[in-house]
Amino acid sequence: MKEAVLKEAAAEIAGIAARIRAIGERTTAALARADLRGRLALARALTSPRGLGWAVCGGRAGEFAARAGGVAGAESLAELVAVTSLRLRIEAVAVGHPELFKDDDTRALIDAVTSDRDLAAVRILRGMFARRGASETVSAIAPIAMELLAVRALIDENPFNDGSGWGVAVGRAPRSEPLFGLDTRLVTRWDRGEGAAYRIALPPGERAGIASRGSVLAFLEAIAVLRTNGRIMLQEIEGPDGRLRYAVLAPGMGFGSPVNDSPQDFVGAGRNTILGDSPYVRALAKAIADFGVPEGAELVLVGHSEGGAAVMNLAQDAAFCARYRVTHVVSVGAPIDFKICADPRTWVASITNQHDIVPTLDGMGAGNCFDLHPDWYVVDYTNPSHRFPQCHDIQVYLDDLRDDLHEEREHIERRLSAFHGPVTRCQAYRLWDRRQAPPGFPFLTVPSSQRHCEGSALVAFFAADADAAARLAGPGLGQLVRLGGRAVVTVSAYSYRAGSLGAHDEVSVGLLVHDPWRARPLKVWTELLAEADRRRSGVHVVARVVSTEEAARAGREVWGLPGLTGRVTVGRKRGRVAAAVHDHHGTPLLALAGRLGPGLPSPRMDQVLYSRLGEHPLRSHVEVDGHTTAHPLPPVRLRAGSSGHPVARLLRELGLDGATPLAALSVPRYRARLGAGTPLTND
Amino acid sequence: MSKPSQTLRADAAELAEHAIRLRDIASRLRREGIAPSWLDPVLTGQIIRCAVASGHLDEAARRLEARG
Repeated sequence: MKEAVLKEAAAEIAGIAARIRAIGERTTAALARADLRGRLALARALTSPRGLGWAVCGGRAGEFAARAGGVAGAESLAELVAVTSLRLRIEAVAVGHPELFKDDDTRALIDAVTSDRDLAAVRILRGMFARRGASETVSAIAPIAMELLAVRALIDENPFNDGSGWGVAVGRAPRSEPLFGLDTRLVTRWDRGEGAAYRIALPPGERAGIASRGSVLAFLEAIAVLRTNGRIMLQEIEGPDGRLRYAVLAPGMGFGSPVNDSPQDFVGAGRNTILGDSPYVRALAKAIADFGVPEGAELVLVGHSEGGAAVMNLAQDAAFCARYRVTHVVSVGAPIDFKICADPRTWVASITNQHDIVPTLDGMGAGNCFDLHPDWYVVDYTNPSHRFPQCHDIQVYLDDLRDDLHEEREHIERRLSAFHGPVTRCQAYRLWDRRQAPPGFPFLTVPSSQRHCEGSALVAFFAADADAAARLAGPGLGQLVRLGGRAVVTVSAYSYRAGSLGAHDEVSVGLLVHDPWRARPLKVWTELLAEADRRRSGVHVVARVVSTEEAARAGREVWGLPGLTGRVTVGRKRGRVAAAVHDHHGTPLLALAGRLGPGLPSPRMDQVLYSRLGEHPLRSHVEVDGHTTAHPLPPVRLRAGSSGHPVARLLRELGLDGATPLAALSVPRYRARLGAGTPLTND
Repeated sequence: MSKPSQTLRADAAELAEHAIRLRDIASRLRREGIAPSWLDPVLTGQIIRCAVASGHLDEAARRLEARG
């Protein structure tokens, strides 16, 4: 009762603080339209330490002036009123946590922070850490950590964290962290990727820990089994009415590197707390689609820590909620106060331990006095024996819900009664920020189908129109390698005098691409020096004309390469090359001719080819034997035919008619072996 | 009366109302016996500042109106 009255007063005072600040903004705006006498009067109103204090704010100039005042230590009435509200919130929390004011350290810390004695506050904190250890110190201040940080942000001389202090004080999502005022979105920039989900099998020992019937305890037990190593689980449950419903079980952040390939990392946790979309959310949606959840099916989303924020992000995605009916969300130990479900019918339960600092990371902790979600079922409980980080563990929440929070657990179970039934299907997934290359990539097992050739070869590298190249590349075979905003296109001319496919000539046009999973804009150049089997980037052949039907068919059927036949001639004489392609009627399609110019010895011209054969991308290696020479800026010119033939049209679209290459590689005595290629699949 | 001066008058009145509301909150908590010891002096200071600021805005509004 006492706690509720204090929080009600704190909320009312916070509202007054916000309105006083708004008055400061309006008065600042009036300055611009006033004459000199008016301005003097307004300036007095905006700066008087007996009235509004330093109340200049709003607009670009106003915010600059507000920050300048902050640096100078000028106080504003609005901020002081907000601090009063925050102090009342601390008093309210202390009703349920009498230890806060009984404990000499925390009492001294509260006094130091609220009286703007930063050095004293730091000394007290340092002493607490030294004497009592980090765990006990953080646990002791966790219930009021956000209020203390907000008070400090509002009254210290750092103007950049004021916004964060205001957010906590008036119940809005803070956009910066409260210590230094760094934009919270900074951390989210490290959490990138389209999100990917791959089916995995749980080891038998873990499978045994997954209950065969749905219930809130069973869902949390499954999350405890999954732990925080990038795995989630989907379950199909036959409800008491015989209908199939689905549970999505999402664990929280894993320990270890703050930025890793899993969405369950530190930067992922930050992103899911602050933003609505993330690799975790996208990966969850992909797993749900892969599991075969039918449209319109009823879902319960259960998440712990970052998983709670991620499932709430799914629940606030209007497109997702239009596809599936999210009936329930159960969030445990997660910062979700500023999330809003897209479907107002979604029932949300939020379970948080007041000594667990993680749920307060969105700025709302035990001292929250704003009724942001009157329709949610919030269990914000305390147990003075609890210590952080242990109390954040899913197992501790599970034990508390099972052994201490009987009434609350029964209430949640009643609301989840539609999910009380046998689990008919269950699948674990491993989530990643990005689609993953097959295990061992690029060291793939290569089938033995090969061919041996002898002849000559020339590969010329051109800078081409990137948009046209992107249209040609299409999706699925890696992003284009770019050089100064242009795509890198290869035009290759081969003359095979002998080989398993017989003598023939070939001219092909290819796009230099990154591997199908990830672009590495810098590494792509250094890895060109590596052997082909260690390279990730390669050439995506988009046009290929050969002189025999046999070579064309083998290219199409074995390597998934484009394969047209035509009159192809490739020759080289006294430092000049001449490659030409005509269609069967003799119409010119392509001509590459000219002197190669001076050359330098070069590493072997091995190539990686990416193509598509059936459902999957195919990766093939061309191993080359023969002395290779590199020719920088060779005076060779490429001509495209004027006909509507696809090859001539493609060259014109790429802007290569009349182009000279950036470089060329030539092998006068060319011997090559082309492996049959390996499908790139994670199945 | 110009629009800026109308806004200033309204804001001056609002600040006076805030002073009253703050006083009411302080009284309510005192009556309930749950007002912390620091609250009275702090709120009193802020109530006075609201009243003073209200006067400042009224004065500024008068200046703007005098300009015509």
